[in-house]
Amino acid sequence: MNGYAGKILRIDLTSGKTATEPLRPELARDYLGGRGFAAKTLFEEVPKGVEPFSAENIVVIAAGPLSGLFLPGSGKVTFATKSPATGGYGDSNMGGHFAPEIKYAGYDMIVIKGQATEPVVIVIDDDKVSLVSAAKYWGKGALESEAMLKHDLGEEFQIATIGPAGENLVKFACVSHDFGRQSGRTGVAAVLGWKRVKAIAVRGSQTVPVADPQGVLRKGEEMYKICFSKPGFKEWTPEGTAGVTDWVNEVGAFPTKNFETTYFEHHGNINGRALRERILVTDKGCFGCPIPCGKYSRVSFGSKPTHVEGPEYETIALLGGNCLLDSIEKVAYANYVCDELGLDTISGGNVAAFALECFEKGILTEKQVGRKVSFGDLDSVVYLLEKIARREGVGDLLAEGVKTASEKLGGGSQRFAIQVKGLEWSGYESRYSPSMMLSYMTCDVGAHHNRSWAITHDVAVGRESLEGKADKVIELQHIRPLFDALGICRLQWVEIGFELNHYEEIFPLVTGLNYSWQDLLQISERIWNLTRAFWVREVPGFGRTMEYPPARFMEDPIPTGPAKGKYLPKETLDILLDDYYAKRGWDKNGIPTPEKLKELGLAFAICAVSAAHQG
Amino acid sequence: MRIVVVLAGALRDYVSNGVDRMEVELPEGATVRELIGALGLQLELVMAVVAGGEKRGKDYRLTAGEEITLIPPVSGG
Repeated sequence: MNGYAGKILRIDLTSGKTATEPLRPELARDYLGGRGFAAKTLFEEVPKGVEPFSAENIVVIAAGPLSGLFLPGSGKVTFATKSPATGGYGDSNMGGHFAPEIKYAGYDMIVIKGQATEPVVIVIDDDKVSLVSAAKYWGKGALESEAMLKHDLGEEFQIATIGPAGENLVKFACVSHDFGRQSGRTGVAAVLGWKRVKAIAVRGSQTVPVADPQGVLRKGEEMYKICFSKPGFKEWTPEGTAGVTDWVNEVGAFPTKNFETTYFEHHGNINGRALRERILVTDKGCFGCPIPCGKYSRVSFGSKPTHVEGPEYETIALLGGNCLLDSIEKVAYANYVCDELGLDTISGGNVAAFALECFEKGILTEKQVGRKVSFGDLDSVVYLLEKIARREGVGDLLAEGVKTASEKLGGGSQRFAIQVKGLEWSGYESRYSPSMMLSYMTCDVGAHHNRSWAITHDVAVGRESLEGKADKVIELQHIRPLFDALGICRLQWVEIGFELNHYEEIFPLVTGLNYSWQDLLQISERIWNLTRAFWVREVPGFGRTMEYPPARFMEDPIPTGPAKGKYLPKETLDILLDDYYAKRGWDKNGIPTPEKLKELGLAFAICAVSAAHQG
Repeated sequence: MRIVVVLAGALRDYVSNGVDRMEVELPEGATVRELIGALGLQLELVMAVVAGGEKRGKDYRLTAGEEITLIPPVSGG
């Protein structure tokens, strides 16, 4: 099959057996790859109601049809599982070089189930797949163990690791790769940790067939040249995503002090310019990237310099503004601590800030925490992150995430546990941005921004109005995740205005399938509805009530800054949800209707949602 | 005076003619802020301004024939 390596690799850790099978053409035709493969495979193969930490849960690693080709940003891979953070569908995509290497080894998807008796490294060397002891790596940091494996196996292996957080089943543990790229969200690394998989190492020497090799080369070259000529190309790379820090403050959307407010007075000290002028070593790009957003940095705290890829914007927002760390050096160091421990910096910063607020309010005591902690203090933040990663003391509770921690702590802490569906909120406070708020509420993994980054739409068309906001969110929820199914980075389109028609043109040259852009968007809608059906099937009582943000966002006006006084009450959110559900073809509780599922070729999922309709 | 305007990223989606490069007629001494208004864009939708290879503020005074690039917010990941 053109565009595909043609095989699926299955690994059963319980038996220690591995097997390959041909990629089914209909899977490629109907779900493309990446998160599409993940959604279909999880729906089909994870039995209803299994615990995320169980042998029956699976981890899916999937590349896409454009991964690994001579195309801008073609290094994206999806890691997916039934999320331990949410109990629902969980995926997180990652750049670097892992997706291309999987395909060069001959696979489009790797499916891991079972549980090993001892920690293992999965070593995939073309057709040779082996489980080797991870005894010498277990307990080591995610970055350290990647370096050790590079040394032991060879530099040419591409390696994904977990850190102590994954080993200790922290529900926001991340998969790490290429010394700073992460599959960060939804706790995939915790499931790998439960399965006792310390790392996956891949080396491939094969090629991927394409329908029109000369056409792909010609179009690929054209795509690079167009990227290089785009206005904004030269301005984007120097600061990468960190370049948006000032702007998010200026529009009053910057997470500050556990989302209490939305403007951080020290933002100029943690922005892209501070990064570039004070700590940057070099830019760092993923496979095939013409606009490298990675920033490799160096800071010194203590006796020796620390190197870290970052901080990128989300880390600046959650560890910087949200924990009130007021210098780029402090943020970079906390970033390094998270990376080595294998903690998602978004949830990590969010959970640390939640704990700091609990301490400030007396909900957590000095005895419970083990010391005094305070906002703005790097030592406090690092202390909490290390406790969490090792599940020591209060860290054992915080390792469950803010939803569970707040439910157990009580004391009113649920109103400032900033999450949706159990996943901690990322870097855009949305009390004055209805499209962005709706994006977070309806995101199919929990409170994550990347499915629909709609805040600019709010700013462009008016932040008070609700009209057309649901339409924009749905449009973006189909376009942006489509890139994760194709296995290619969306930032060329998002950041420098690279036109979408180029993807429509390259797709048939690669696959031989004459899909229009609308055909591709319909597949993306199919995937979106299938992940929704997974949630309905797996989470009892799933529906509208699980989409609301915490009370702080619905009841407390923003106290300071450019968005002072703004908030979105529940009644307003219901107007947005009513509009959104109707336009999606879902019922008033947000459950896909049988008609909608049939229309999208998902009739097999109707039985999964029928009980919710009846209820 | 005539100014050449280049719109980066998604900004072209928010101007009436949908193009990313155009000439605009403005009064002598106009600022970037006034240019953004003349294009019908929300001031906050422009994150950065580049002229002559340098980043400029929104109060930067334009000169006849100058080429200005307007950059929208970048997405944080």
